[in-house]
Amino acid sequence: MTATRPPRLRPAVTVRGAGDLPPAGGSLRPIAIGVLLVVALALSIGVAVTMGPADLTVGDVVASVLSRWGGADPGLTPIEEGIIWSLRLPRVLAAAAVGAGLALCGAVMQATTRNPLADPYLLGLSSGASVGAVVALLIGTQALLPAAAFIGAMAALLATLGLAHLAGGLTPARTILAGVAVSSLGGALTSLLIFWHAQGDSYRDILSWLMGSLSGVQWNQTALAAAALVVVGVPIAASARLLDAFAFGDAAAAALGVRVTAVRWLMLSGTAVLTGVLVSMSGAIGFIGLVIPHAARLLVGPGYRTLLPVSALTGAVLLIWADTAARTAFDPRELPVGIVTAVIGAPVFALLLARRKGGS
Amino acid sequence: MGLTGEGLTGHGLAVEGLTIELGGAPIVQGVSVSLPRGSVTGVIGPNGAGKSTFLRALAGVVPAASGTVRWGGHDLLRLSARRRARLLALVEQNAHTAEPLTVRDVVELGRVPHQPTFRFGGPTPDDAARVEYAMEVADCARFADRTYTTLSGGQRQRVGLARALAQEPELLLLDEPTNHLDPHAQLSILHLLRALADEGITIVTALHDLSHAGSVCDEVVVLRDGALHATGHPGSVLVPDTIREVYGVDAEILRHPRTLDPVFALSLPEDEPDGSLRQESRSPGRTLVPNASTHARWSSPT
Repeated sequence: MTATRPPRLRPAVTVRGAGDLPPAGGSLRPIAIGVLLVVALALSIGVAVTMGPADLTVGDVVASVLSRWGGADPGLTPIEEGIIWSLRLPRVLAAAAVGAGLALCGAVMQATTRNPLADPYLLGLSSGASVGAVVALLIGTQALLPAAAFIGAMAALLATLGLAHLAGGLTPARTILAGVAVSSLGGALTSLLIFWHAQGDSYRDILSWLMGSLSGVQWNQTALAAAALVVVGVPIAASARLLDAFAFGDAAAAALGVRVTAVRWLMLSGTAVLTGVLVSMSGAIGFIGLVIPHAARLLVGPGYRTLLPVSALTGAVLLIWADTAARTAFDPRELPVGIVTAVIGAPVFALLLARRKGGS
Repeated sequence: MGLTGEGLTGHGLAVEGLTIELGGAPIVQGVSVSLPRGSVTGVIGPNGAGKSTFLRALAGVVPAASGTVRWGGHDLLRLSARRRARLLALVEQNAHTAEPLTVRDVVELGRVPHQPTFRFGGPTPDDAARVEYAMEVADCARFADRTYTTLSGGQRQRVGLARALAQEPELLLLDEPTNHLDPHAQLSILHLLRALADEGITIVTALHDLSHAGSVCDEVVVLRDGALHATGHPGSVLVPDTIREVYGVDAEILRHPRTLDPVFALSLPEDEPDGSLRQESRSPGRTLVPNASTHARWSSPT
């Protein structure tokens, strides 16, 4: 009976009036949130630069920035100009780039490992990058700092996933445990290397690599971090549908035409590059990559097309304020920024663990 | 075997000597079947017979150790995953996600093989329209905005089917789509599969219920211990001898008084009250040529 039916070339479901139907609902909300976040980011940059000793206003900052592009002379003293241009603006923008990058890396790692607890810090990439950066510093090849940090991050990624795999598979719990082991080893190596070569006060150095610090960031570092964010982040954000396809697991992603292994390793290598560049400047900053994507999911839902940009913007805003708190809260002494992010992130991490209790 | 020649001419699904090994152990061995376009084929066999693995290999999700799968002019096993995903869709059992996706989000995943790898922005109007249509066909548009994880098994099955339809497949593979569903949901899914086949979509579905296979399928493929045990029209394959050999149960084939579909009344063999299979009935690789008299018992009125 069916054999006599003439074969059709494209027998798939035909769509009645394709294009007549309105696009799926709720598409305005992510746009509104995106616009709000961009405004919040611009405001945060402006306000954060004024925070701290020296009596600056947001107006001064804006006027100073405009004067560089042919605006009127803002009438600031050279010292005030120096504080804005040499100290605070590169640092605030670096905090924005690091926050955006770490949040993006966390979201990508959570998608490709299907592990809601994955982030560059917990999986050991950050501490691996720190080891690489410190080795490069001790050898005296400052120019290779980001590359060495990338190698460290990649080695840590391979070690974590390899260890979890050896222990019987990449379940979330095993991956995190492997990450803790790699992370501890990386932290110990970093501490040992610095301590061995100590000249005077090595503890500050150790702390800033293990807990993160943006003090003394220069424009060229800020520019490199921003470039890495764009070069790695934009292609990943543009291929966000591939991350969505992982939602039902590897087999389902493969059945949707995704080359699962290649995509996973490309994505994870991208996060290792980005983490390496960021950590070589900031040290290992925890919890941004873990917490921000979950906050973004609450805001705009689980789709990675919107989740990635919203995570990046939220991470940028959060780290700007965490770093501002780190440098002003106990002025003139500075806290490692990782302490601030841990104070925010640890309770959220605990909450996530508690929510998973039933699930896994 | 009259129907099966068509696949070899490039119009249907032609599986040749498909062997699949997982962890070194053969799960499916040398299966060759040929299925016409626009037909519904039931893949039946006991638990562990290799039905799911067979379907997953056709979908390219597990690699085949040897053999070919041809669909039209395409060698499905050599096609890129993306091009394959535009030709065929797989609906697996117990699809699970931890992400709080809505039903619409899930169905939209079916558009992934048609979307460019690098693109910013949401679904195109064309994508959105095809997603809405797929949800309507699979009858899940009513709960399009609910979270997938809160759905019942039957609703999830419909969402999986809608996701597959959003892929615009020519070939639709389903792994026990009626599992865990209430009777109404089972029958309506089967009815939908039949309707899709009449639209021209070729359907290959693993089934446990022989009555379903007998009433819906144009072809059945019987797997046992990973080998092809029998294939052909359900009227000639689903006969008491085969059923006893494959499942170790006695079958009485009745007719539904209104629809005239076959109804399989099954019982444990009287000589084996514990139901354990006799040793010789488990010997692998035996193929069966159905005998004409049992065939006639329920296929003659048609």
